[in-house]
Amino acid sequence: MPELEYFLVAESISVDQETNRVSIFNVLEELQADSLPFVYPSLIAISSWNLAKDELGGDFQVMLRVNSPAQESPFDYPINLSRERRRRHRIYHRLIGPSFHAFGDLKFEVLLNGEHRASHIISLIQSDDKDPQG
Amino acid sequence: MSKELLSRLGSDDVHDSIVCYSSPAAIRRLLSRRREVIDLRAALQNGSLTDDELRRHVVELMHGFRPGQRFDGDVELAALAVAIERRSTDFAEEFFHDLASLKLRELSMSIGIARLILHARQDLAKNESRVIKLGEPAHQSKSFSQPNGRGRVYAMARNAKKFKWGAM
Repeated sequence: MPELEYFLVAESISVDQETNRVSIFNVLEELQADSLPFVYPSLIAISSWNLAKDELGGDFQVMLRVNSPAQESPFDYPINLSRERRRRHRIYHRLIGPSFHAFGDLKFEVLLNGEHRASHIISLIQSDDKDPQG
Repeated sequence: MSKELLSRLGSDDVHDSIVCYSSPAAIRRLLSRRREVIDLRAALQNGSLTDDELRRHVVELMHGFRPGQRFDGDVELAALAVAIERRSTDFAEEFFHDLASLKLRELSMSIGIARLILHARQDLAKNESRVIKLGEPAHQSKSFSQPNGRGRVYAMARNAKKFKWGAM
């Protein structure tokens, strides 16, 4: 099975078209919100996969699973690796306009063919300057 | 300027420099050291030349192709292939796949080099993305491939039953 090189959730990324190098900007660990629901403009989950020679061109599914304290069941976003014979595949899941309805830990998981491979937690916390009484 | 850079790839000087070489690997090495190729790479890197211009140039070049006749654009295509061999764009992907899949004697040099480069590009990371607009239903999500046909149906079914769009 392909090996996971890294998995992160960040605010944005950039891929240099000439060198194919990826830059990751603002890795997200904590988000502060005054009130709920809290809408974030966009975030991106990046996973990088290394394939062995005998796996090149194989059929693999990478799934981003988002667990939120406000929802009992997670959101799943699958994407299949292209069948192109490449040793490394970078998968970007870009979420546009997510809104969060509860404070707590947002758990982003990445699964390969349905098996958990890694997770990244973002804590959504209430701003210190917010009066708890409202 | 960009037109000139591109036309230099097919100059007599470039033709003459590779006339003694026969293997695609040797021609590729030689072309990669040519000033014309280096300048083209630099122009692509600094943005003074775009993929659209490359595409237009290739289309124009291919207008001169006549089956069964010697095609001078073969060297130019080969040089262009070497110039963009590490480039990670849709045009580059398309260019190498299309060229490598041809079986034409008139383009034997550029086809050989495209195949060589395509093999080398296995080491180049493939970038794949899915954009999920959370204010909209999942079936409006863009750009994801699913050779087994499972992904989209699975996402729609799973999300549609349980969630309010965009709420987490």
